[in-house]
Amino acid sequence: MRRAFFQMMALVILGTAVGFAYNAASPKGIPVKGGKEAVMEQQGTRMLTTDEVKFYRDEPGTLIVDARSAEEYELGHVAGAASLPLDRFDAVYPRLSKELAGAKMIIIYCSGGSCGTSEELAKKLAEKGIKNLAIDTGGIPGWIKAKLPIKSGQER
Amino acid sequence: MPAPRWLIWLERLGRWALAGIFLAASVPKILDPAGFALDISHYQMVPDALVNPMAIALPWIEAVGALALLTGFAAEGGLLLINLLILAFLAGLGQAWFRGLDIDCGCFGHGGAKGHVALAILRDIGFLALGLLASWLRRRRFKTPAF
Repeated sequence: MRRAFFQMMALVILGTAVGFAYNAASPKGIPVKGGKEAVMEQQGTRMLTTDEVKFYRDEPGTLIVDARSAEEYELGHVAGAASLPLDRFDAVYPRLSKELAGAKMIIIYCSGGSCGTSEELAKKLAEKGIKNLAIDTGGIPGWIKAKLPIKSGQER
Repeated sequence: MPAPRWLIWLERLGRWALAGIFLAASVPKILDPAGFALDISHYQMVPDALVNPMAIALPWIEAVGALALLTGFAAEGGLLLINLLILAFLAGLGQAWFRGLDIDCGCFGHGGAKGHVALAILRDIGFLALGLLASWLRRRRFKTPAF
């Protein structure tokens, strides 16, 4: 038992050391500090709070994008938001590509908290060369809490 | 008295199977640390400050543990490490399932399907059974406690 424990600790130390060394040397390495926000910012995506979104949403050239499914969008979405469901990205992206390329800021949201869909969408858009990406970390729950306008149905 | 041939091979096969699983799980995470950091954060289990260090170190700890099982060098420690990792993964998946989090498991890299947390739990229970069996076989083979 004791031998196994010491061997395990040696393996953990070795794995950790190799991991940090590889991260420092790799072009795909991530910042050690700053958590998810630093990772997203490294990929060119800003993380915004609901208050920051409130500030930017009325700025000219801002495009708000709903990353959730079309069904969720129809049930209730941020007023004026375009629907770009992650699960139908390839089908919907061509229709929105010009608008996305011309936007000064693209604010993506999903269900907030752990949903992760907006981060996935931001990653896909960045791969398509789309810039000025931001994520509304509060998502729909943040909008409801802040009493910002929510609409239902197929808006656009 | 040396261990019978069938026991030696069964113990090796158990270790190698676990090594294969953990190597397959670690490589995609090593190649995409950013994606793995996002997956970890979605579990909402660890403070933000620990997310990136975990995303950097954990895949390599898995890989080093798998190599220990594959080569037989420090295999007892490797088995203990892998079994504890599976228990930790089960705890993470269990709390996500209990809280109804709609997340990508991230177990074999970033970008998997969402909503399969319960299936991932069942799969990890299978891996834990394999890990415990491999530990028991090793103990029988060398007549020494694997843990």
